[in-house]
Amino acid sequence: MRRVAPLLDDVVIPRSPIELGAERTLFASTTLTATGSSQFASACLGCPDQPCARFTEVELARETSVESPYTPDPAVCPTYAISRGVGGTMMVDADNCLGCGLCVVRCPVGAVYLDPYSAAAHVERPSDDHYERVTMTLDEFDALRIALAEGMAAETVPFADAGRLSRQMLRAAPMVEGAAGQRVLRLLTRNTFLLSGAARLKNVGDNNAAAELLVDAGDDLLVVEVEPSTDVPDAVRRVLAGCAIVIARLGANRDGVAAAVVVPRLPNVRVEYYRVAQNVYDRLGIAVYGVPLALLLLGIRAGGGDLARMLRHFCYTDGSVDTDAVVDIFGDVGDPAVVGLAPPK
Amino acid sequence: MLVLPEAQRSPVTLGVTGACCLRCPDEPCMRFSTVESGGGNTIQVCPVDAIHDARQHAGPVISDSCVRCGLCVVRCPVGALALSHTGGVTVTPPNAGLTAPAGDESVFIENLAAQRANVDWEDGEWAALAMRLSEAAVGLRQDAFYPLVAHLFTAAGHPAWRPARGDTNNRVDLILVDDEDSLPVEVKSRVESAVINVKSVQQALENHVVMDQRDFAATNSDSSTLVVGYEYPPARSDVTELIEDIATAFGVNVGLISLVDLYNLALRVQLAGDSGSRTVLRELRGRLS
Repeated sequence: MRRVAPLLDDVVIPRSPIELGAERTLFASTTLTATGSSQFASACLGCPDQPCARFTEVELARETSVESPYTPDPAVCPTYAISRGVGGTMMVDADNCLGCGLCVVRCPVGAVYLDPYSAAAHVERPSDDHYERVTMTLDEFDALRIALAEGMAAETVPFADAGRLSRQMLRAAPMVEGAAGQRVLRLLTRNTFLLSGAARLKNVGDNNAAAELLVDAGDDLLVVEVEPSTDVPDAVRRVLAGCAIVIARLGANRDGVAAAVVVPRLPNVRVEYYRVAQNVYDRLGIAVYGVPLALLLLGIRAGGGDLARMLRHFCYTDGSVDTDAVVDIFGDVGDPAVVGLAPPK
Repeated sequence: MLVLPEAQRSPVTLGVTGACCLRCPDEPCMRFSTVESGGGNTIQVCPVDAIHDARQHAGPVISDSCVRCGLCVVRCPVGALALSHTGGVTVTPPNAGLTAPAGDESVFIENLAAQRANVDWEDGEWAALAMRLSEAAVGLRQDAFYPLVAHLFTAAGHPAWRPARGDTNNRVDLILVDDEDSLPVEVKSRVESAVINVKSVQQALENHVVMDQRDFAATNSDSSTLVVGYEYPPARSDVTELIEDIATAFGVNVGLISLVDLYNLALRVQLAGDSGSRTVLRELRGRLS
């Protein structure tokens, strides 16, 4: 019926420092140093490499094309809402912010947070009361940032927060739906998987005949399609073609290939989609998991790494959801159907 | 004693010619026989229901909704129906001297079959005829194109069933019904897609999975799943590569049939008495020709 992966022991937000390229010195001489804050580890340092806004070339190198070379979009933010502002620190365009939290978990010093009420991202700006403007070399900046990052490493975050997830859904769902949402949902999905060093991503072959993403999740390959509309049966067909390509051209073992269809909200359990997915599993042995936006949001909060395993843990191909497993992983997030983790009743 | 007119080939009428309507008892221009229809209810020939009963009239009457597919013309055993270059289907009305006798239909039908087999087709004429007929279907929308494809399959010896619209359990466009080995067919009109595309191949794979797992027709897991479209994709294309990938990955064959090739299959059965081999369809992977 489904495959089961081990449970996560703890949900930890990774705060590993990100290497600065030696050639990037643009803002290094005008950065700011923290002198202490009770709420935040640091205000925005105006990092020269902007980890909250851009993936590095090393990170993006995991995303390669099998057939044709192409330049991956380095953007972290699916709506390009975070950018460098006046004074060298980062700022968020709240109107376009999805509230997904990608920039939050990417900030190495905890200077970006989601507003508890609107779920929009905010950057903690330096104030003269608490921060001091200093001039330092790139090496000194690097050392400072690592020190700040280590100070907040392995912070365990409680996930039992149904309110936060609901507010995130309210903000994000309308922005990833329909034809206009396709590109946003695609980038959100890619970046959620890219967040984890464990996931290797590929753009498979030709756009017409291939899945959107290929995630190498340890023993298994996960072929991922993104479907912003409610016409999910089409997505099953597409993702199945992607699986065929992965098996035939990349030599993947059929038993180790699974598929995921990312949707804003899971369709009602009575729709044809689930029956087709079940037929596909029974005939071809390919499990097709429906991945709702809410799961991506929780996955981002958990650092993205184990999303591929997570969805396998509680999503059934017939659309039902193992509520106990949801609670085990994320804590009490409320009724899975209400927050969008399960199909509507 | 019934005297049948002598058969002649005619590129203009697409069949034998020189006859008037014989008012055949089995009305081959209007419906397939019980055997041709797969044993159940007889299937009508005209995809748009444009040909009507001759009994009350002086021969069959063709309405304005005719799409010039030529099916009734090639079905007429004596060439009383003709497809002109300029207009639609014309009917040579019956006359008193030539009517089908009552009571001895089997002999009459046998004679018609012999008559049909006497027509001497030359090489290349099949292709030209199939091409000409398929060109008439270039602008057909789904509501005419899908039944045309269904009736061409039936004419080619593969009775086709069209599931009711809105049947979510069975969304396959066509099923070539068989007691053991029914084949699903995905249909794409030229209005939907100029050539058979990746989407139709994806749909064909799903058709195979759904047919195999659900109980609405007897199937064989090794048999092909078919796509009929107006034209084939280029020989080296995403479509052909995907078909190979699907065969390698899942052992499922996706077969493609262009409308011209489907006409060829149907014409051989209708005009030359071929029996319509199922093996070709059952094992088809990629293009038929």
